[in-house]
Amino acid sequence: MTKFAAFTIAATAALLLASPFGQAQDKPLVAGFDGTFAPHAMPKMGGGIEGFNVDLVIEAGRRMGRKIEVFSGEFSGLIPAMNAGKLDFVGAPTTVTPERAANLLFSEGYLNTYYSFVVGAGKPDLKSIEELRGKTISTNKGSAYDKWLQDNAARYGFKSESYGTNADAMQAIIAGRADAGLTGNTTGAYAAMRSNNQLRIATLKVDQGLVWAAVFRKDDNKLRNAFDEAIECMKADGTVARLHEKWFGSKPEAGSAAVTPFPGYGVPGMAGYDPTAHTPRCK
Amino acid sequence: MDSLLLNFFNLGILQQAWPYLLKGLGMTLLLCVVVIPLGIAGGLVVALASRAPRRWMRWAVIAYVDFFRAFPPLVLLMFLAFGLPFLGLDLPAFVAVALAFLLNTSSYYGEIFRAGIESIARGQYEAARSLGLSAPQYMRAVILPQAVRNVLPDLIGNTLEVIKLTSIASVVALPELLYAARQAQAVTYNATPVVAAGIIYLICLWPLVRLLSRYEHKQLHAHN
Amino acid sequence: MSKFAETFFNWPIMVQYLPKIVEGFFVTIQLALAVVVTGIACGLVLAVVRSFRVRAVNFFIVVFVDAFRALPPLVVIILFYFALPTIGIRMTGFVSTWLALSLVLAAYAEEIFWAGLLAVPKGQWEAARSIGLDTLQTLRYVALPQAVRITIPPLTNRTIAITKNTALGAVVAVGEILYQAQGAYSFSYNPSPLTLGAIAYLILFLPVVWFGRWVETRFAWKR
Repeated sequence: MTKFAAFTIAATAALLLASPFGQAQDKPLVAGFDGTFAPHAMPKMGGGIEGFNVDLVIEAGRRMGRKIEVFSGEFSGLIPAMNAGKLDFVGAPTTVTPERAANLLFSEGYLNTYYSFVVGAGKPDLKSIEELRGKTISTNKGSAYDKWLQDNAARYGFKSESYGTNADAMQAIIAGRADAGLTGNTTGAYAAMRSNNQLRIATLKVDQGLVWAAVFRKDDNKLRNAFDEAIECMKADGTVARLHEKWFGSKPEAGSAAVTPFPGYGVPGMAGYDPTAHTPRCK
Repeated sequence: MDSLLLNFFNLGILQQAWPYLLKGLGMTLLLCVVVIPLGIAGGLVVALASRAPRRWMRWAVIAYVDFFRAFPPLVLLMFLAFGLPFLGLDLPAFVAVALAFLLNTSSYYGEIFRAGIESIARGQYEAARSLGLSAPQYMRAVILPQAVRNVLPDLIGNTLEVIKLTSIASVVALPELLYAARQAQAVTYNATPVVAAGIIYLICLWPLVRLLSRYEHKQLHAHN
Repeated sequence: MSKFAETFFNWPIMVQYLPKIVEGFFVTIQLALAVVVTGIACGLVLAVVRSFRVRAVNFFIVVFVDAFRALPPLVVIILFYFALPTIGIRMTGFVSTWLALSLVLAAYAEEIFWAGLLAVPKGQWEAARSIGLDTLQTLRYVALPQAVRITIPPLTNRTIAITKNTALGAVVAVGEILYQAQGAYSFSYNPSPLTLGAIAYLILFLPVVWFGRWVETRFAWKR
């Protein structure tokens, strides 16, 4: 082979590798998290975030053969940022509601979730929805809890205040600015545990049998399906259960979303569900 | 008193949060070092543009200045940080913040420089021209040095404002001092980090405030 | 271009959330007016007290003014809302924001009024004393009216700058424009509510800025 031909081949190869085609496999996926939603994603004192979801998503990325770039921001901005193309998907635990499913594509659920009320340690327990009348409830702006509170404020006679971060919503309870806060089951429990006895979980909860899942753009089936397969593998080999124990301090219950791979892609019964049967190729 | 110490001046928690706060302070300083020169340069451009020969140019500058003086900086910041991605512009948080600050501060610095330039007596221009200096030459050598000297307190004052303004970047999760303090507060459920951040701001900015005060009083006595 | 319009000026979404933004508009106005009134009043009172030249009191005034000129307003708001409750002092988001911004405006206003009072020639004070006026009367009939001419332009400027900080109230859940716009943005996944909020702020503050310009030209102090 002439030197010239060899050079041309090498140069073309270099160009191809440098071009978008070559890069596609190496480009990291940008995943959005709410860095104040402990213990799913919370700040490390030295900078950066850690948590159940961070671990989950990075491991899922590994199984998909992609590196994950962690983006941390307010929850209220994550889904819009994804739609705008700034993020590839949202790794923060997002409650799968019919409303959201109509506009977004969800992966299969990886944790069961219900809405939990948190009260100040010295305050009386909340046992029924009627007790909310006249009270101020704090929550994380743009969350499913925010939506529930806004939808039901008129009906039950309470006032909702939304904060940019879940941490601020919890702080508002401690500060006495809110009578109670509405958040997820795991985050409420974690906040109560870590708050130096300033917060308590109330008896009252809103359990609609929902799950937490990752969010993708409505047309991004390819990425969603790849993520789903990775999650199914992680459920089957106990990785999710391990993470559950590491971050929540308890093993997941039998039959719960954390240990049960769901058939098809997405959340059964919600828009965007793809019942195509498949067996994931697990590494 | 006890509860004050525990909640505001908790040394154990301060020790934990300190490295995080220092990192945040570093980011604040970085932001200042980038934004202040940019804003001053932008302000000079605005001030000089406000003396343009064409009337429409002058009106455009006035519109720009009024627009960004009326627009609250936090709203501008959110608009750029959350809105630009929809236009396909995926800017890192630091760049979005710097851009918002540039737009905001250049209008304030612009007004200050404009007032300074206008305060120079016409005689200076005439003398400079009669010496054969061209416009860029006499601007640089004669007018601007005097103008800046006249409005130095305002310039310092506005710079002080810009440094304080960096704290709003915490709302779009830029890890500057206030953001670091709030994160530390969220993790420890204790207000000490935020109190510490306040004290850091006080220590860093108080000398500038004193300097500014002295300048302001000196200028007043000069007029008396 | 039409993508831009659909993203930032999405009519159906803007119409849907307009009532919320209007709600926020009135909260912003309330907050801004409250801050202006108390801030300027306190600043004036402090400047007047300072003119009595009681050393010990003046020391505290200077410390107060220095502190609130050095602290970023957002830090003060957060301290009032999230930190003070830990020692038993509780304020609503509105009160925290109002108090914080008023104190900041008072600090600046005091300096501006004081500068104005200092600019009144000493001879005026002496003349007033020689016709038998006490300090308070001198202030009211002689010094303040002359001081006002100097103070109005910087005071207007400073007031405008500080009232724009009412947007910071969104961080402590005050239902003003930005708070409403952000909420709408997060539920609609579309930045049009932010556009609406921006327009609301411009409607509110552009006239104020124009008023400030007019005031400046009217009270121009030739250096």
